[in-house]
Amino acid sequence: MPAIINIDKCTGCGVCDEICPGDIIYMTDDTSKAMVRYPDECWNCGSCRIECPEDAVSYIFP
Amino acid sequence: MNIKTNELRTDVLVIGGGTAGCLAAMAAKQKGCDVTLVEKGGSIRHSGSLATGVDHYSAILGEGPWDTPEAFVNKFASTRPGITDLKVVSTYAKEARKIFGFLEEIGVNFKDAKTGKYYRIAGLGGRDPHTICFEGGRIKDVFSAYLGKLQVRLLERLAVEGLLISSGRVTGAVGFHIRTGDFYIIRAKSVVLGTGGATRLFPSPTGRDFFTHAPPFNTGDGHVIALRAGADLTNMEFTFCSVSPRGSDSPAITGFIGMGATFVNARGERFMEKSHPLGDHAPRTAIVNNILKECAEGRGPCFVDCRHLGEEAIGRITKGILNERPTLMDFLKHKDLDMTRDLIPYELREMETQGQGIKVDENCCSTVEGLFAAGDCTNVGLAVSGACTLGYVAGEKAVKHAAAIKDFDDDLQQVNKLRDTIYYPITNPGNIRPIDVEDEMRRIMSTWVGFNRNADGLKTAIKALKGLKDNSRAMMARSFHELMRANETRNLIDVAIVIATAALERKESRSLPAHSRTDYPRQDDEHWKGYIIVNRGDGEELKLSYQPLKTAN
Ligand SMILES: Cc1cc2nc3c(=O)[nH]c(=O)nc-3n(C[C@H](O)[C@H](O)[C@H](O)COP(=O)(O)OP(=O)(O)OC[C@H]3O[C@@H](n4cnc5c(N)ncnc54)[C@H](O)[C@@H]3O)c2cc1C
Ligand code: SF4
Ligand code: SF4
Repeated sequence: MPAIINIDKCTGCGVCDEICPGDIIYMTDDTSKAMVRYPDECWNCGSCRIECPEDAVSYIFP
Repeated sequence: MNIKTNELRTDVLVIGGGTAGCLAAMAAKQKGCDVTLVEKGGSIRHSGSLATGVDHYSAILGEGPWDTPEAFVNKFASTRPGITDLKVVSTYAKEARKIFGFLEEIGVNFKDAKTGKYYRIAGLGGRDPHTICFEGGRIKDVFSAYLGKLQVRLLERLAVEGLLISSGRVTGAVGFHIRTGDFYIIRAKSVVLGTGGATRLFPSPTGRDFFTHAPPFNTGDGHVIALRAGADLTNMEFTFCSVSPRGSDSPAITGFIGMGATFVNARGERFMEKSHPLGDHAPRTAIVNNILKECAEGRGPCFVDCRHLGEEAIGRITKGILNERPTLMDFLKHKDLDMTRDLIPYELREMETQGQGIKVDENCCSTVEGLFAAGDCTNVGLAVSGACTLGYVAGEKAVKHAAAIKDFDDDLQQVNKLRDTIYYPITNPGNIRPIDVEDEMRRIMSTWVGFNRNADGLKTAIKALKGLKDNSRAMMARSFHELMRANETRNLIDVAIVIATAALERKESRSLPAHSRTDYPRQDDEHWKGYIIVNRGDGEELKLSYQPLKTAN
């Protein structure tokens, strides 16, 4: 499963959007939150979680 | 469509901000050149194979008679059955120590926190402890900081999709910004390619085709633009394959095996011990091949067994994973796999191209003047230390070449042609999604170009891939992100055609399972111990030639 963003924790800082190697994460139109726009193309690399200052990113491997 | 064009000039253009590209840019900039580094992803801090770090670095440090450049080259020759140019390997071996020292100077800490010394283990491909275990989780931050200090011009989110050529010499490249869509023309005196391998060619066993071993965003772009520019590709029939915990993406075998874990089959037998002189330390291809064999002969599935290891070893394996691929620890946890208690099921990964590609000489130069390459996009991969060392060499040689060039080219004809092709899916959108074309390519590859190849299957594949290439003109892109994927898909099809064509030509089997022909099951050194070179000649059709290996292999 691709990266999951907890929107309650996300402060919209934009770091994950900036660093994703695959252009998978975008900010919402009002730039207040991050969203995984292309979940099927996520590499599950973990970069966005490493960078997120709010601990808002997680992964689930069912 | 109103697309902004940016044109810039630079002495050395480096394409790909991964391992090799970062080192090439550093080397070139240190020599006082004007250097531009271009990366497709969001940030070089998290792009390429080292996106989330690295835990093993193969080094040559002179700590014993086994640890010299000469010993390394000799061993390399005896453990790698594929076609390898030992001249290039020698360049690596000679320069490896210097570049290792350079990495330490710029802030990469290779020393073990506990002992203050290098902690070295035997990885795959030999029993000598060449491999340093280290905490390289933030290695790309170190690279990025140093490139910043050197003031290398950095262009991120820029996908390069074509090289410019004038009188047989490379004169720059073009590409587009994957968010704004801006078109970029970059005129350069030398170009270094560090675009990595080609992933996404075969279906991923995880069921998600972007959940791959190597970065799914490495799509052979460098291979294809080099080929179109006239460069030779080689070794392309040898598709690389690794193994990983079943359902995950990360091999992690160097860490496991290096710390004393073993492969076992379903009967609990240590099958590598009986099938290869190096046992569990055999080269990766041999491990993959033997897992395939165990499964085919009814002794699968195969596992990695760590249950006998002590706390220290398990701690080091865990630390390694956290530094290289932290999501693998989540995976093991969610699957309730405990290394101290459970066997870890291993499966084969998708095949990919990694260390097969642009043919380079001992100066890391391709067969096109001014076009250098290093890392997984070339025919000499050699993992992280190879990409660092040869990347650095490529950067140095690129500077030397640039110094002899006086003027920048300003031809616009090529530029306009390339621009039309690049933007076609957005300016003339058809009705096919790139992902559907790509899925079909993967199905073709897995049916006919995977583990068991034969002439009829390969011919069928080539025909189908060419048909797909024609149909791909009807791909649509509704955003610049989709335009990037459409260009990637197009590149992947070209890489796939090269692989199938080279595989059809090589009428033997070698480096199993990298090239396994059911109609020519034996290795035939008399006729095939050499390179199959793929070139595009003057037209669209691929031209093949054979070049026997001169050096002992
Ligand atoms: C998860 C993982 C773990 C690994 N661990 C180890 C290890 O511990 N030890 C070891 O020795 N080896 C390891 N390897 C192998 C090693 O990392 C690679 O062989 C090496 O880093 C390759 O370097 P590279 O520069 O060729 O490619 P990469 O580092 O993959 O870089 C290629 C770069 O080019 C960019 N790019 C691609 N196309 C374009 C384009 N069209 N325009 C602009 N930019 C583009 C990509 O975005 C990427 O940043 C690992 C590999 C992976 C995938
Ligand atoms: S890094 Fe974290 S907090 Fe910042 S935008 Fe992304 S998810 Fe939100
Ligand atoms: S896990 Fe990696 S590829 Fe997926 S969204 Fe995060 S940074 Fe991007």
